[in-house]
Amino acid sequence: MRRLILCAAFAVAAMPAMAQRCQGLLEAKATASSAAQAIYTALLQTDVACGSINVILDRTLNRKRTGGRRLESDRPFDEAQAQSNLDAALRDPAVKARIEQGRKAITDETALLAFEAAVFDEEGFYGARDLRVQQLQQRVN
Amino acid sequence: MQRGLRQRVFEPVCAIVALGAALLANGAYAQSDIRPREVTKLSLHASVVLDRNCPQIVQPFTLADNAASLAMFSAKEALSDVGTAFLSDPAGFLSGKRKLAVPSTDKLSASTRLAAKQLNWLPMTAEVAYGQRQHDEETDVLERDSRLGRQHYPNADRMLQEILAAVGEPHDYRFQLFILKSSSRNAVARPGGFLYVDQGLIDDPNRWPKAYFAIAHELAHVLQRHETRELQSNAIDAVESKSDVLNLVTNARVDPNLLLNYVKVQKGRFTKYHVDQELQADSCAVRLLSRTLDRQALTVSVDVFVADLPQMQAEPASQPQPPGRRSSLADAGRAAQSVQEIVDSPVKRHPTNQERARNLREIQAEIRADARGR
Repeated sequence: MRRLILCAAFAVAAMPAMAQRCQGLLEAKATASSAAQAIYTALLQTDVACGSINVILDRTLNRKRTGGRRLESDRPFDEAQAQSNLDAALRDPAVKARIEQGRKAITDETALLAFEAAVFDEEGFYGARDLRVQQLQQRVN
Repeated sequence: MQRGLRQRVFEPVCAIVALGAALLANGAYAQSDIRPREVTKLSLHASVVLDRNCPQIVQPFTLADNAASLAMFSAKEALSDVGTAFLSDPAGFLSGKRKLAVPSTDKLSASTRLAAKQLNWLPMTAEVAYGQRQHDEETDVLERDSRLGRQHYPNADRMLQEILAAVGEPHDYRFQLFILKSSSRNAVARPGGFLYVDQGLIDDPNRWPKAYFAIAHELAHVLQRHETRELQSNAIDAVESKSDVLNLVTNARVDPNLLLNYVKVQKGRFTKYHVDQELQADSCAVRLLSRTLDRQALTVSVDVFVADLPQMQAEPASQPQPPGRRSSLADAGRAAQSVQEIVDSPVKRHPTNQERARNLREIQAEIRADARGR
C-alpha cells in the first residue's frame, strides 16, 4: 500500500506544472465519458497547455458550437488543406521534436492522436489539429 | 430611408408601458435625459430592420427613450391606466417614490409579446451576463499570454481601436476582442460586446483588409443590438403573463440571472441569420471603415471580403453561370439544401453572396455621393 501511494505521489510530482493546473479545471468535463477520461488522463501526463487539452476534449466529444452572430457561413472541412497543414507542421523543427518525443513515450494510439492534436493546437497548426481530431472522433464516438 | 429608425413605431400595450416605467423607476435616469419619440404602430417582425443603409452606427433608442415613448403613446391613446399614471407623475416613478401596480388584466396578448420583443429594454448588465455565459463556453480562444497570443493580439487590438475611434457616437459597450484558434476567416459577435476573429484573419497580413471588415461588421451587430433583440425575444417567449413580463423586466437590472433563467442558453444554437440585419451590419461596416481607411484601402477591404465569401449558397436562378462552370454532384447537393433552407425560412437566412455584393456596392456609392455633396 505504501509503495502504491509513493508511486502515485511520484506520478503527480512528475506531472508537468501546466498539466497540474489543468487538473481541477478539466476534471469535471473529462468525467462525462470514458473516452473523455482516457484522453484527459493521457494528455495530463504530457507538457501540452491546459487550453489545448480543453480544445481537444471539446472538439472531439462535443461538436456543438456556442452561439453568436457569424460574419459568414462556416466552410466545410477541407481535408487536402488540412493534410498540407500537417505536412507543414511536421517540417517545423520544434513541432517535429515534440511529436517524435510523444511517439516514443505514448504507446496507446488514441492517446497519441490526442497528444498530437493538442501539440498542433498549441503550435497554431489548426488544420493538422482538425485532421487528428477527426481521426479521434472516429475512434471514440 | 434616412428616417427609418426614427419612424420605428409600436402599438400601445399597457404591460410594456408598465415594465418600461418600472425600469425607469429602478434606474437612475434624470427626467431631463429622456427623449420620448412618437410610437404609432407595431412591426410584424421582432428583428425588423427599417434602414439597412445604416444611417446611425449606434442604435439610437436608449432604454429610457423607449419606455417613455411607449408611455406617452399609450397615454395618448387612452388605452393604459399605467401609462397615464406614469405620465401624470413621471418624476415620482423615476425617483422610485411611486410604485407601479400590476395591470388589472394579466393575460399576455400576442401584440404585447411582440411589442416587448421590439423594445430595447434589456439592461446592459443582463446583456453582458448573457454574453459572458456564452463566452465561458467558448474553448477556442487563443490565450493572450501564449506565444501566439503575444504575437497576434497587438495587431487585432490595434484594428479594433482604429474602428472604435471611428464610431463617433456615445454607447455603453466595453468591447472585448478575442482571437479564435482557427485557420478559417470567420468572425463572431455575442451580446454585451464580445467580439471574436479567427486567427486565420490575423496571422497573415494579406488578410488584414478582410479582418478590418470582419471586426467592423461584428461591431455593427452589437451596436445595432441585433443579438440583444434576439435575446429579448427568447426571454419574452418564455413568459406567460403580463405580471411575469413586469417582474422579468423590473428585476433584470438588479438580478440579470433572473432573465437568463428564462432564456435557454443552448450550445449550438446560433442565431438564425436575418438577411436585413446582416446587410445592415455590412453597410455599417463600410460606413465605419470609410472613416478610418482611405478610399483605396476601403475598396480593397470590401472587395477582399466579397471575393472570400464561401461559395456554397444558392444564388438566384436569374443569374447566369459563368461559361464552362459545371457544378459537381456535391455542389448540387449543397445548393439544393440551401434552396430548401431559403424556402423553408425565407426571412431567417444569411444573405446570398450576390445580395451582399450588391448592397456593398450601393452603400459605397452612397458614401461617395455624400462625400462629393459636402
